[in-house]
Amino acid sequence: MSEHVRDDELLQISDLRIGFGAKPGEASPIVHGLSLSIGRGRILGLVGESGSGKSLTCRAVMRLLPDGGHVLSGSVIFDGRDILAMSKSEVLAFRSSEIGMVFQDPFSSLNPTRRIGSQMIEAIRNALNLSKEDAERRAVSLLEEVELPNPAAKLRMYPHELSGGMRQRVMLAIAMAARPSLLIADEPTTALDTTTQAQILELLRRIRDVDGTSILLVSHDFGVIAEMCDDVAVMYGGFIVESGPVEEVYLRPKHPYTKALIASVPTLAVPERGYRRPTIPGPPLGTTPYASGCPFAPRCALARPECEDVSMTLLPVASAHTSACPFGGE
Amino acid sequence: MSDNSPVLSVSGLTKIYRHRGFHLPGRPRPADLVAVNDVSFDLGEGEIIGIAGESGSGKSTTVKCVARLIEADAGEVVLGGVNLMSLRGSALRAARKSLQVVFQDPYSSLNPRLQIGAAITEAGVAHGIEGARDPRFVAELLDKVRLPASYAARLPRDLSGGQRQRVAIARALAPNPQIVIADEAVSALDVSVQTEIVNLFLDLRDLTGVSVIFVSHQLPVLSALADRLLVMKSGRIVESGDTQKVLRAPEHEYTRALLAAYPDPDRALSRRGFRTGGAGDE
Repeated sequence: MSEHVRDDELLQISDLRIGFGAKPGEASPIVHGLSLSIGRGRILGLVGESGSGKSLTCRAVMRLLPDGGHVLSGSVIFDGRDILAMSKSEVLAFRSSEIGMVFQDPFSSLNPTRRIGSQMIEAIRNALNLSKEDAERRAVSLLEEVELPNPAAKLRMYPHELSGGMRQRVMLAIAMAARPSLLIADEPTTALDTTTQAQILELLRRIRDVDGTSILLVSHDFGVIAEMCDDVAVMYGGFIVESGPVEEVYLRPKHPYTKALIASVPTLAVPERGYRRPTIPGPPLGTTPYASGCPFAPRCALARPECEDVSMTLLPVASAHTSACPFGGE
Repeated sequence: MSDNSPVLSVSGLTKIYRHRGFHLPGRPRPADLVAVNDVSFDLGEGEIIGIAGESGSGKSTTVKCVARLIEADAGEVVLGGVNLMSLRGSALRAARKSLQVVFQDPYSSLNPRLQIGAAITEAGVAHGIEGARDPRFVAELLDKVRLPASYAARLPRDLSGGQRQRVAIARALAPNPQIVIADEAVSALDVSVQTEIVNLFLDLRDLTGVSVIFVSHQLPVLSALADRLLVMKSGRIVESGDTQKVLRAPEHEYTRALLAAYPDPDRALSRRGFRTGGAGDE
């Protein structure tokens, strides 16, 4: 990926390293020099297994790393400004107005002891300088936008009175309150039923189409990615191992990890009796510490001694399609 | 699949959550919730049945009633000629040996301070299995779920989600049950790890002839696993049959809606106008 900041990119992450430890100096790296960019009005998918660093990357962009997490180096340029260089108060203002975020678990991201209305009004007034009455009117219209029926009544309800899908709609409404130009959606549908998932995805797509919002969509499910994204970046062990237009990467994967991940996706096709869908062999992520070279090498069927020295630089495969495997996945 | 008499026979199973206690004066009393409504099915020896449906369809309540973790209001669950519903105390505990449950969350179903080996031993001892304290007992069960014997000395926190679920399955297998009930056992796992656990269940069935009831809201997980599918909605079975038949030619509108909502990558890309070659879909 290019080192230069391009004008048409809304978010540009360069060489981001994130580590965990008591102090930044003692932190052991989890995300190793990640670079990616999202164009205006584009949907970028970040796909990979638990522990690959997807959520940490999102949280670093929001400056919301959990305790012990440190950005060790790199830059996150959003609309020309480096988020990592902002002061605390700048970040606060920025978070509520420029980037919206929805998380996986709509059950734990709302305060169970407060009504939907008061939580929404608080969030809206944080983001926009509105009177209480105006904020309430705005809350109703936002709930209409996310297609929650009977929004005025919903404002008086507590989170436990809503279903998982409804809560996720409320979270989306809050995230979209200030019309941010970027929405970060971290596994927004993983906890939901399939039909509810389809509705929430449809809603995300409409947010992009109507408002031109760029979306960073994190998922471990290639089905969701193929449904939604323009581009995809595949993460493994804190590295992006492959990236490009979603159809390119899905139909012509080059990195052995991408290939294995796609092959293991369950489909509706009923196989012959005795058939076993391919899985990814070897020790799962996070059970062995990372040393050097390609992090996937211990599980790769095509691994060779040179894999220990691979620099994990993304190399061009086709236009805009890059892979970190210098052996072309062969 | 077996042509012989079923291992487990469920008939007329019904569970009603009655509205109790307070409701606003002047308002009608809220209706009772029929969570499971007259559910009947047989499970053959070595058969894998998939129960599909969304949150609130009653699939989990059904299997919890079958395992007597929840008391049903009506119906029979016949296992080995005995109606489980009529059992109490030690007789029920003895029957549970043949019917074990694996739950969704591998992070909360294991005691975080108990080593894996001890957790498996505990499951064997609880069911009075002879030799459960023998390290070989643990090693054999770990081998059945494809974990190295050395894992016996580890703690749950050292394991990934998929590995923990393997341990939960090993614990379920400890009393050598005839039936394993898996209640959303792969839903909390990554897609690639889900496939591993699905394959493990298939291997265990082929190896030991265990029968499985596998509850999942994800039809693709069941497509490769279940011999037969039951699709549940609002407490009822709305469609049932051979997995291939149900997925290829669904008869109930609800099954069709579930199938249409699943984000299949090939279908998604071809709908977006990309040539996919159709591999995987159909």
